[in-house]
Amino acid sequence: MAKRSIVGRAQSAICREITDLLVDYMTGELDPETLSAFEEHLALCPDCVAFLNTYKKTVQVTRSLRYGSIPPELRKRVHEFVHRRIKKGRRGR
Amino acid sequence: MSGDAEDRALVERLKTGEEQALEALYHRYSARVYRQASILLGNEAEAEEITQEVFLTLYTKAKTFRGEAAFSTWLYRLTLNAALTRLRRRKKGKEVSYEDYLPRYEPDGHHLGGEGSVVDWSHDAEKQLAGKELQRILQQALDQLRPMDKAVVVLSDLEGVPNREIGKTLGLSVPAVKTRLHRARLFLRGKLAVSLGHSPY
Repeated sequence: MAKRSIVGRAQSAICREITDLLVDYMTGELDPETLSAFEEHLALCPDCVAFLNTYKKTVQVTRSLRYGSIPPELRKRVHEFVHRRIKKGRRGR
Repeated sequence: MSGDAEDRALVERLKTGEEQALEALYHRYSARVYRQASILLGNEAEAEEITQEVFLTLYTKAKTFRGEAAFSTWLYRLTLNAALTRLRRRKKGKEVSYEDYLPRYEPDGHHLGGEGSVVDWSHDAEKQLAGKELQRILQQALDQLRPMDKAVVVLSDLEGVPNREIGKTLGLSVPAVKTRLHRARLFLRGKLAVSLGHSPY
């Protein structure tokens, strides 16, 4: 992603450029000047606000995917399988 | 002793063939390996097989662990490699084009359709669809990602692994991790938007 700085161009910064900054924005990696220009653009652009909110929501739904921990009987089954295979491997040596 | 130091000590014992060390590592990590495999494969039966495979590989390949990365990173790499091999082997269905779900812009770079064209569905999503339904749609969309992109999303957004670590685990540069993560998130966002009856753009 080759990015042109948006510093000093909040009004003329285009939405495509704002979208390209979302990963760094989410991890707090934007430098202070870029962050300030980013937020200034958002204050002027409801579409980018809507886009940011739905982008964040997507990440939030992804984070909410929780898989139950390994069921105890499965844990036991895998454990026994691994040990059987190891023993078999030893006998075969 | 820190968790990683304890892991390293266990691997050193495992290198000498001590099965109790494998027991301890299994006790510590089997739940995580299984969870990661379930998410990557979207299938619990295959996740069980991957968990078996990973712990067998751990037993036979422990000697190749040189300790450059944390043991948990190394183990995750084993899990990923096993899962990615399966994902690549799967009979490919009709490949979904990311492009259809990525944002589109006017020639001047503003959102397609002019002002007011992007709908903010973030607050209504749960009202329209129950949380579980949203998750089901998202899992389906995740399963349509290319294997490496899926691995990046799982590591970043589900496991909270920093981009630098993801790069080390998957053999990608940090900018490459960010590019994959961003496109994958945009695709997932587009899929959710369409499911909620909105434009993906």
